[in-house]
Amino acid sequence: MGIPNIEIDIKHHVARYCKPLCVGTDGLPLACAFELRPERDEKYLSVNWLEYYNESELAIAVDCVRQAFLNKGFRPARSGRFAVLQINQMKSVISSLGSKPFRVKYLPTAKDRSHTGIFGYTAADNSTALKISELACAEDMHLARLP
Amino acid sequence: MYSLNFSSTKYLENLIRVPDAGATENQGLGETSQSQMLRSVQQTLHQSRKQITLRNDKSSLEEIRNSNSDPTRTWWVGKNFSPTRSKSLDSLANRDQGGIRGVSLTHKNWLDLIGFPSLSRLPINTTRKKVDPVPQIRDATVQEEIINALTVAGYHKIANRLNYLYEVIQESDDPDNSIMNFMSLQKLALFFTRDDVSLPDPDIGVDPEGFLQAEWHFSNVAALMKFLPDGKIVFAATSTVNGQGESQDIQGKGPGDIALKIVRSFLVNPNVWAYPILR
Repeated sequence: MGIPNIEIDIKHHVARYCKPLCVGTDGLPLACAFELRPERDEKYLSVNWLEYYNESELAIAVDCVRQAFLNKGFRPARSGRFAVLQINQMKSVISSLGSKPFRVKYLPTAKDRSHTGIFGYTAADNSTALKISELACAEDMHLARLP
Repeated sequence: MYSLNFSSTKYLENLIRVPDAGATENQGLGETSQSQMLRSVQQTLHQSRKQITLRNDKSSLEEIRNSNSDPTRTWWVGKNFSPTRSKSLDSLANRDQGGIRGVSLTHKNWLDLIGFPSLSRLPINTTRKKVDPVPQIRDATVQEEIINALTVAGYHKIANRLNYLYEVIQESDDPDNSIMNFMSLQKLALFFTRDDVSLPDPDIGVDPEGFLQAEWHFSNVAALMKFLPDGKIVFAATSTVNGQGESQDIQGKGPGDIALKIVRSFLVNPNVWAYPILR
């Protein structure tokens, strides 16, 4: 089965899982949460498309992402966070700093139907990761695992 | 005892003056005192969790006063801000740029860089290092020894953060979370215990490869330093200029001296006037 060719509206939002090692003492994401892994030659930033769930409340959509992580066998850390960002804001940063053309691509898997890739920068584009991390404020951060 | 004749730190004179015994309005503070005062203001503002941008006006002065938890000490912002611009662009242009790869390096960026005091003239941090941690860090064979050395030497915030990260890694069942590169940790520890490093205490994270990464996130300035095992530092910094939408960005890789100079020029940038502010 091929990947459905769905164009994602840049006004939509994505959630990025931030490991505890990449969440600052203020609870906001550090740049390392948005860096790509060079050893895996990552081509895109893995995120979850929130509007995919067609929920009117953000909290419910984020909960769907939590469930998707569990479905694929990944238990988010208690002190991890999901950073919710608008695609358009990411596009603005990546278009100005990234070394490749910005692109957002819906890349669902069987166990993670909202999985999406943000393209346009590489593991070497540290300033891009830094600026993306600056987009998040406190209300954009959600517990990766509910108590 | 006090001197105004430190041209390299003149902008600090104008940014912050602290009335002190024996000092009048026309007297400045020595380099070390200025650095300590600046650091103290930064910490105070950070702890107060207030959003304050230092500017040349009375309202900012009041904000700073109000944010100061110590009622016996008064901060104020000088009126005649005019950073000293020494040296010429030519001397810099002819120099080896040490592997710096400018993404959007403007003329003004360079001015900021060369306007900053040379490393040899920077203040020496005298508030820490009752015990010299360097030998213990150099001889360490495990992470805990390095963290312990930092704690004993008074680098509590850095040590506490490293300890937290270390514990997270130890307790994690995520295979991607399993590494804190020892050499990277050692380089970070050696860097922040250098006498000439007078940066605000950073937040610290671990990148996908296990390398330690110091980060600073202020109101309109952010910077990072990634400590590679070979001693080089990957750095990046961004600032928004004068509240306008435009930003200045730089990233690169180089030896510690260069990374320090560039990152510091962003964090203590006279044209940005922003100090630790929670986003």
